[in-house]
Amino acid sequence: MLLTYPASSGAWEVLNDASSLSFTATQQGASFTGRFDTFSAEVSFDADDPSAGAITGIVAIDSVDTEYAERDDYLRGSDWFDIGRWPEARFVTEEIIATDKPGEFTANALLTLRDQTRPVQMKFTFAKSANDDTWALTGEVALRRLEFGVGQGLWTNTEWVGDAVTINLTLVMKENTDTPPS
Amino acid sequence: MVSLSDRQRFSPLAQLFHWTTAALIVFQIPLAYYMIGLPLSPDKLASYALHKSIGLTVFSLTALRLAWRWIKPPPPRIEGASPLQHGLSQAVHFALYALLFSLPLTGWLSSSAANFPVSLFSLVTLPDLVAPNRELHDALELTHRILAYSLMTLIVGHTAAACWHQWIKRDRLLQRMLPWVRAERE
Repeated sequence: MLLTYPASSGAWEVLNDASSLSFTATQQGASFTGRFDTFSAEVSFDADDPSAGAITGIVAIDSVDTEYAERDDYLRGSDWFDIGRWPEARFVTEEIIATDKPGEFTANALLTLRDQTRPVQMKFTFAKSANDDTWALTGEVALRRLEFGVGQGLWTNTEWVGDAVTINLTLVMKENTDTPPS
Repeated sequence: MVSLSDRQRFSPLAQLFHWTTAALIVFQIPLAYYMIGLPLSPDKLASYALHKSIGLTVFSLTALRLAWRWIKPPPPRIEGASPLQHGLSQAVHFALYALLFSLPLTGWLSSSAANFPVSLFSLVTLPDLVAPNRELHDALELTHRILAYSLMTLIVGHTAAACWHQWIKRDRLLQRMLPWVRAERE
């Protein structure tokens, strides 16, 4: 490479311990939050050239945690995520676009949950930490669980568990300096 | 049987509080056993929601009831009770009030600790009292259960005592709380 900008290599090492993946859903009309503790992500992103970037993620659905073991077990079962058949969720961006606001981007991506692969949009910010040399990619995806078949049978009724779910992703990353110079 | 005067009986509002609460509790206890036995399903969530709504109603009614009791104190104690009987009766009634507060409260706390919302008939969602916490939830659930067993025990005692007064002692105590007894003119 001839030119080197900060982060211009675009390759990042995701710091798993500092990153998080959570979701907010509604139950009886009130929101509650859960999270997936095990996931991995690969990020190639340069804020100056977002369209060249790509973000992919794999989530181990088994790691779902809503702070209530019985509900977690149930979510792993056939009516919800059915981890015996579909243990992972996948997220792959197809296109990343800069918005009018600096540091804010929109990713058009494909999300695979259970046997459904559907387009979703993730709005995210990309900013350097004030404290250290890490960067944070903070994104949000709004989806409808029933489009992915999450909630079968009686659970397709949204009276007790709402259809709308918001996914919140925070990837804390540092520049991958291990990459040999090209 | 000679009727008691109005002054010797609980006020109509106090009677309404008592019997409404009694009816709600009589519904609430079997509902608790029913919902616990259900597999996780919309029915289960609906049953829990109803149980929580009734519990909150009992809590509110009990608060209003104590306020009313302060405004209009209960009728004077009946004659012929030994100090021991009177003391026991006072203790049981105090414990019943304490349980009508602490059961809904521990239920609400337990729901919050399990990351489940509490609402009043889906009309108002109440705030979470504590952050989700497994150990805390287990402790609260056990407390709720022990308090429920205590309430059931005291209800049996309370009812048995009322029957004893009515049919063994025949001292017209129950009339003080019965709405359909015609008041004698003073």
